[in-house]
Amino acid sequence: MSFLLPIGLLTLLVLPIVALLHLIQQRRDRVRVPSLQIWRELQRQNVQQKPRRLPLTLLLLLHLLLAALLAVALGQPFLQAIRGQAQHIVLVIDTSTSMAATDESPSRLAAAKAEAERIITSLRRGDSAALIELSAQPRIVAQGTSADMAVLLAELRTLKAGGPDGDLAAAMSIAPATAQPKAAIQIVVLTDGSFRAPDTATVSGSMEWRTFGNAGDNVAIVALAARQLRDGRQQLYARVANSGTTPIARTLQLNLDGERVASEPIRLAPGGEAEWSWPLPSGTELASASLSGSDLQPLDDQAAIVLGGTAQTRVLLVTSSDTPVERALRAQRGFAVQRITAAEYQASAAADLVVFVGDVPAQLPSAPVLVVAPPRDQELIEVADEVLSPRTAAANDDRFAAIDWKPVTFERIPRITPPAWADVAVSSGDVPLVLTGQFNNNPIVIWAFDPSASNLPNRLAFPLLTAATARQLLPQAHDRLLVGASAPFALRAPDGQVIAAGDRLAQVGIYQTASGNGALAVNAIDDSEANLQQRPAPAITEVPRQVATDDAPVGRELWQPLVVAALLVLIGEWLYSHRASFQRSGRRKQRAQV
Amino acid sequence: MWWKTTFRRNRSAGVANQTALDEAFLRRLERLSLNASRMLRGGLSGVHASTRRLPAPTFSDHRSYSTSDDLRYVDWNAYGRQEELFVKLGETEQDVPVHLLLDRSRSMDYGTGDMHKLHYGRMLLAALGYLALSGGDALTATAFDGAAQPVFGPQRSKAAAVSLLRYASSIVPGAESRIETTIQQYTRPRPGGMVVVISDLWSVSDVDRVLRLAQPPRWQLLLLHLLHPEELEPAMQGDIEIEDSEQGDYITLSADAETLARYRERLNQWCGAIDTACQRRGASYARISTDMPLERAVIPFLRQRQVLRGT
Repeated sequence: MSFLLPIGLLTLLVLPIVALLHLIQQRRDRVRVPSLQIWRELQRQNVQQKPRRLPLTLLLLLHLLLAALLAVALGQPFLQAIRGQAQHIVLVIDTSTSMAATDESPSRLAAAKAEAERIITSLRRGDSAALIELSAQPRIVAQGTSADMAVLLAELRTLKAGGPDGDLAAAMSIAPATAQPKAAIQIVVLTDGSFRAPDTATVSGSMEWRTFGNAGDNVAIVALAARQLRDGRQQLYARVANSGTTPIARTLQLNLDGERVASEPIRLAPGGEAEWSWPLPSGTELASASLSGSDLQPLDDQAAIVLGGTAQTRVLLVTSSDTPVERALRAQRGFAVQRITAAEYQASAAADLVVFVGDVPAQLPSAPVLVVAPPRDQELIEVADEVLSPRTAAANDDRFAAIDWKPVTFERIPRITPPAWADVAVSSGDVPLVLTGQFNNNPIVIWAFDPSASNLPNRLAFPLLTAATARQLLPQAHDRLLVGASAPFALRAPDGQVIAAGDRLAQVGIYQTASGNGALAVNAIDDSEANLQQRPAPAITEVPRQVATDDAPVGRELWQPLVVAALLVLIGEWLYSHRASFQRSGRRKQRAQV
Repeated sequence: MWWKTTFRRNRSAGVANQTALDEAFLRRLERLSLNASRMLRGGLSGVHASTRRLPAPTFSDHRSYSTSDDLRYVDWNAYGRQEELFVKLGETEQDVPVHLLLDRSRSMDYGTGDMHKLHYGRMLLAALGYLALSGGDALTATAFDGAAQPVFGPQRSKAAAVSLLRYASSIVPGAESRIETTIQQYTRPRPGGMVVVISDLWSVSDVDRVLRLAQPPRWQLLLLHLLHPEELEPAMQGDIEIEDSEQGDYITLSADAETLARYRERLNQWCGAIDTACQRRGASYARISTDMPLERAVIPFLRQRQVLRGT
């Protein structure tokens, strides 16, 4: 409780005055008698007078209470807990792979979520909270006031562990954005200490650390990769590391296309590592490695890699005329290209990739799509009549950054307005050249230009652009994703659950494409996340946030109930003072009735 | 409703103006009379016994006939035997002058309602006055303080009862009084009679002197000592200032149990001293608390103290 007018409390000085008045009143309590004749004699007989004391009468207590209530009311008290400076709590929850460790029961993340739930449910009226997932790309999961507690808790329960170290600096930078301007912020980081953080950082508001997990031992597969040898065969490489403090003895098992082909005993000292490599038989599609036994982190005890094998990618090219795109597609390894006309196209045609050149059907297939030189009369994307001839192109996406665009010139390019579902991957100034995105849960790439109307087919950039586009649209052999990453396209998880494009990949294992012709390995391979040892918290400087002290308080002022209470006390005092009159009146009535 | 009486002033506080006696009570009073001393000298029309012997039908003695004696009282049998005229003498009944003196000093203005001392004194004066009038006595009533006051009487007829009640109702609290001076001024010019002093006696500095001023055989003095219950049993408590109602000065005192016990002890000693002095001087003394009902407590009490007689 605070006071808006503390100087009003000076009126509390009236309390001793009230007490003094009562003392004086007691001294002047005079009794009239017919004569002092006998009383004087008693006084002369040295009747001992007791020292005067403050009479603790009910009337005195009522007067003191009345004065105190009015004095406190003059101070204009109000409850600080519901003032405008309500607290804003930012819960930053680490969801990296190490949070799946089971040294906390049932896991570090579960313990962190329980703590976060406790904090959320203890929000006071007027408080607000925000939930930030501390991952490689921190995001605001939910935010709201105490009234939105159910939403916050529901979003909290959806968090799952998996992913590389979180970016604490990024999380700290977005935390103030969740609060009202000049609101007091308290940032609570719930983590096991495994995150990327600068040596020093500054945060606006107060900061509190809640660490989970003990210094647990862990053995992890920290590398699983395949490479093609000069003779055309493939070789598999694996590395196992012991990040614990005790020696371990386990077994590394290698499976190729579901059959165990090797079992390597492992003995590792604390901090030790061991490597293996195996030649792979031709046509191997899937290789996986796993560690026997169990430890605190089960996610990194297994790893897999999709090798591709001999399966070919079915490409359906829909074009009404010859196009250099066909030549570029056929040049891609493993592509089996089938060319049809637009009239022959059916949306239900089985294909891993459908390429439309100069045409966009009314109904797109449920497969990755490449659209080349979209016409104006279609509904997929808005194509203007304006024709441009851009000269210099530049990549906005890392996937297309390796392409040398400088020698490429375009003659005629219609202006395309990028839709909301697409990003501009390559552009020339403000002219989009390549768009990427997700449409109906399928990846789609749009080449705004017609390669035949440029010098692109004669440049090295053309097959590179085609390969980059294919990599954007299709799961590639040897592609590996870390758990916690976003799905590049619709996938089916190892447990059969359908994962929409952009959703989080929370499980490790082999994901199948929606068409069933491709696979993608999702692993928890991360040196940093495999180390479950506790790490010191980074040095983060807390900068006091300028709170809105000059704002008009919105908290409930208490002077009104205090004045009402004072009024009630006054009535009580009046009734008490006149109780003798009431008694006399009652006696008179009784006599009158008699 | 309760609040209607809350703002009303306490009308019963202070002295009431009306002095009313119940008619049945007055009839019962008529059966009583003041127990006047035989030694008093009064008229021949009363009901009080007298030591004077006059020719009368009831025989008690003889004396020689003298001129102008009533021949009805000549004892002819004694004349036959003694051949001398003797007149039969008998004890005569007389009326006595009754003087009711009511103290109306400030100290009598104490208490509330029916227990107000002056009000109680007025009721007592009216009752005793009516009793005197009904007995054929010459009644004189005076309410005294330091100054001269109107006097009722002398009256000797019940017809004056209404005037007496009116006079009693007109008595209001006065100033400081000196009983000694009042008694002296009252008794000096008068031949004698019964003097009933109704007072709280707080203004009496020398009770023996008062008794000497109205001593037998010329006077028969009755001291009716009126005290309020709170004078007999003070209910005050704690550190207080006690104010004298007559003088206005005050003293500071701690009214604890010990002090109140000393007060009661000293009051009883004072009353006892007055009673002893009255017995020694042939006066009558009665201490009356104003919470005593007049008819059911005071009249029987006065009969017990032989101030009244009759049934």
